[in-house]
Amino acid sequence: MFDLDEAISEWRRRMLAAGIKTPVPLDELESHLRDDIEQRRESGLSEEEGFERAIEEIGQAPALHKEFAKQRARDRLEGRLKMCSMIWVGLFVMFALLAVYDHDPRDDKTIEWLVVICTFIGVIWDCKQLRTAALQSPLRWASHCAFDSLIVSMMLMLFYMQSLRHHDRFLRACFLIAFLASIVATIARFMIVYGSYSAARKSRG
Amino acid sequence: MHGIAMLTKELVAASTEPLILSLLSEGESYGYALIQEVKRLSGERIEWTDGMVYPVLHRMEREGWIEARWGEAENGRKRKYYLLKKEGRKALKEQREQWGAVSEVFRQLWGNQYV
Repeated sequence: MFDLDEAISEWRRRMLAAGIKTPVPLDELESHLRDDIEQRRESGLSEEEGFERAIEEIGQAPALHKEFAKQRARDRLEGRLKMCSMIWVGLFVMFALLAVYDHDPRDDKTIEWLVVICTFIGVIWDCKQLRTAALQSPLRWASHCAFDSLIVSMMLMLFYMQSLRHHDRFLRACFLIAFLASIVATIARFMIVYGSYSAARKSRG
Repeated sequence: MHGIAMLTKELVAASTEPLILSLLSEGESYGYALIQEVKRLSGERIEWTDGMVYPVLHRMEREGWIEARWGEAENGRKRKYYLLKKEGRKALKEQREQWGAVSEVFRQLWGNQYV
């Protein structure tokens, strides 16, 4: 004898095994499945046939998992880009404050080194995100990021100017390179924005 | 409905969001009903797969266009209903303008040839 509840539990187990981890989509899919089965029964199928056809239509577990993963990847990218902006703004505020308080680099260079390291990591990480973003939807993402780069450049300029005051040539060179890198990143972003903008305009006629 | 081709995959993918937004602008609904409604309105030329619609609904929810709530169906089972939010109405307006522009071009190009 066919037991619908048992069959649905078994189906849920298969979906879980395929990686649809959270219970929310599964509850919703189950609700869909039951609606579908009911509809099919009304049109004359047995419960078992209805179940078989309904799960066939809802899709195989790996394909379904792929669809959910695709949507999540878009979300993650957006989250990361937002975080990029926040980190840059945060760093900028911190260093701008330090500059205002006229931090004397002769006392202690820890902060200067921190800036250089953070900036290099930031620029590399940022460029990686930007590359992924540019492949997906250039205009939207690039405009989102252009502003980050601008802030980074301003921040580094501030610190480059400060570093001129001390004599560690290596540190000064690092500042200069980081500054140039962030300028290049900014220009690259504006080029992406401009490229997408003119492409969009061209396609609009 | 023989002789009428199904929509291409690309066109279905591009139209899913505006269709969901439009359907929800008429009142709250749930996944299964949305799929059935679009199938009916399109003369069965648009058949959304269930595996595609739910991830899209969830993403639209995270974007803040729609909100979801668990409710109880007439038969006592629980069901997840979706409701259009203010941001969603804004998105719908934008989408309508875009699709309207495309449709207007087609109307001008094909208008005279249509019976």
